[in-house]
This record gives sequence, C-alpha cells and structure tokens, in this order.
Amino acid sequence: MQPLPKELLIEASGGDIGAFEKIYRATSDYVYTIALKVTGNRADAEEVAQDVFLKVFRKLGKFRFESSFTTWLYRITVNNAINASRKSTRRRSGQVEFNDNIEVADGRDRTREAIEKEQNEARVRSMLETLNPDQRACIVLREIEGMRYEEIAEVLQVNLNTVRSRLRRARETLCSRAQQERSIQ
Amino acid sequence: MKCTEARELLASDFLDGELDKDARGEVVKHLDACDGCRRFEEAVRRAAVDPLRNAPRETAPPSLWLKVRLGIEHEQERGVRAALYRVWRSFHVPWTAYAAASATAAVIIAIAVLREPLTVPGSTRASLTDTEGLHEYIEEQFSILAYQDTNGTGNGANGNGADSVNFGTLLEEYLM
Repeated sequence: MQPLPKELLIEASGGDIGAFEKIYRATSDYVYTIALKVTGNRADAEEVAQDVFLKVFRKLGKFRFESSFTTWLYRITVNNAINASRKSTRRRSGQVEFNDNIEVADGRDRTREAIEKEQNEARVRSMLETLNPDQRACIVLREIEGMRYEEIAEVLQVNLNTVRSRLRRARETLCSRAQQERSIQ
Repeated sequence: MKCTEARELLASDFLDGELDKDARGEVVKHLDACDGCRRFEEAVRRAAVDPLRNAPRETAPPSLWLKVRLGIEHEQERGVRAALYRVWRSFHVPWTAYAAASATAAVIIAIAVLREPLTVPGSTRASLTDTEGLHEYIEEQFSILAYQDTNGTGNGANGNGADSVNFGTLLEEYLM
C-alpha cells in the first residue's frame, strides 16, 4: 500500500466525503484482501472492510500523524478481521462448503483460466484455514502484503520474536498439512 | 551450524530475507552440505510460501463503497441530531422552574383579584365599598318602592288602587 498524501488525509479528517472516497479507492483492495484472507469468506470480509472504513472515517479527525496512516489502517483491518474470524468460525466453515458447491455446479460454463484461478483461491483458503487467526494475520501480512518483520510487529503491536515464531509455526503447520495430503494421495 | 538451528532460520528469517550477510552465508554453507535441510527448505517454499506469494490481490466489490457511504451518511445524520439535542439541552429549563413560575403567577393573580373591590352587577356605581354609591343605590331602591306604593304599579299590580297592591308572593305580602 502506497503512503497517501497528508493533505488528502487532512481534508478527509475534516469530513470531506470526496477526499475520503479517494482514500477508499486507494486502499480498499488491500483492506478487502486482508479481510478475506483472514476471515476466509466474502460476506465476513465485506462486513469487516465496511466496519474498517467507517471506523477510519470516525477516527480520522483524531489521527495525529505520529505513525504512518497505512500502518494504522492495516492495524484496524487486521484487528477487525481477527475478531470477526474468532466470532464466526462455525458459520465460516458452513459458508465455505456452500461456496465450494456453487463453484462445482457452475464449473462447466467457465474458462479453464477462471477455473484454475478459483482452484488456487480455494487452495489458499483451505491452507489458511489450518492456521489460527493470529498466525493467519501474520502470514498474510508477510506473504501477501510483503511486509518486513519490523512492519508486521508494528501493525500487530507485538515484538519481533513473536512475529518470527508465528511465521515459523504457521509454515511448519502448512508443511505438515501438505505432507498429510501427499500421503493420502 | 546444526540442522535444528538451520531449519528454524530456514522457516523464518532466511526465507524472508531478514538475515544479515554473515548469518545468511552460514545457512547457505549448511545447505550446501546437508541434503535433508535442502529438501526441508524446498518443501517449505512449495507448501507454505509460493502458493501465498503468488495469490492475486482481491478486488473490493463495487457495492462496498455504497455501503460505506450509506454508513457515513447515517452517522453524520446521527451526529447532526446529537448536536441539535445538545443545543436544545443547553436551553432546556427544568420542569421545577416551570412549576415555580406557574405558582408565582397564580399567587400574583390571586392577590390582584382580592385587592380589586367587588362590583354590583348591572349597577352604574363603581362598587359596594364606595359609600356614596351605596347610598345612591339605596335611595334609588326606596324611590322605586315609594313610586310603586303611590301608583299601585308594584310587582303583579292590577292597577286598581293602593288597596289592591299585590306584592307577589304570600311571604312578601305578609312582610310588607
């Protein structure tokens, strides 16, 4: 996510909806992607993203520019997504099954590329589901957002060793899952 | 470097480019010499890194902005209502003040009414406390009665002289 001009943030913090829309356009895909990867389903991700932007609009007036706006936005997003993920674990697993059924039923009308894309998405989703929400948030920030350990620590407000150990455990979990899948095949 | 130490670094700092040049060099040297750790590194990349790093970024659904905007407008409306309520509260007078004002007004009205002399209905005189007026009133009543006595035109009179004056009720006749 690219840093946003300070003037734009100041305009939006004064309640300028046009300026806020520009912020939304520049950041919404990042927010939605994190929300989707952490929660695991589109309905929850949309709700999380909506809450994030409302919270940002509400609190932007109090933002003092002591830290980076993008770090602040990532923090709100990750915290909201982790909370939503913890709250709706059962509902989420039901939703995933429902979505998978739709994908199989509609598969005949899609192009090969679209099907491959959806299969990859489903694979990533099922990989992330094996992790707990904290590990999931950490690995999403690292692998999908490409953040360095220091940035992840700042967003999650944890120390560097916690970031390191969460990433290591997450990868070990994913490796053993892959081994199990291979042994079943 | 031992395999345990190398694998810890392989699953974190080494893969993520967080090691300094010297530490990285040590891990690379270990990998050159250890088939097991090399396979471990490949497995981690294949199972836990590449699928996620290659995952495309999602696009927020178009309806999301509409929902955000509606939410903001709703919050702004609530904010305006809250501000108006605060203004109203700042001018608000408690009910006890209204009650005290009403009681004071009632007392003032009562005093004004009691201080004002009673007037005689239909009379041209100002009031019964007006002594001069009262005397005039009494004189007027006596002159009416005297006129009735002399002319026989009292209440219920038949006009046949003083003996036939009819004072109305039996009680009035007895008293008169």
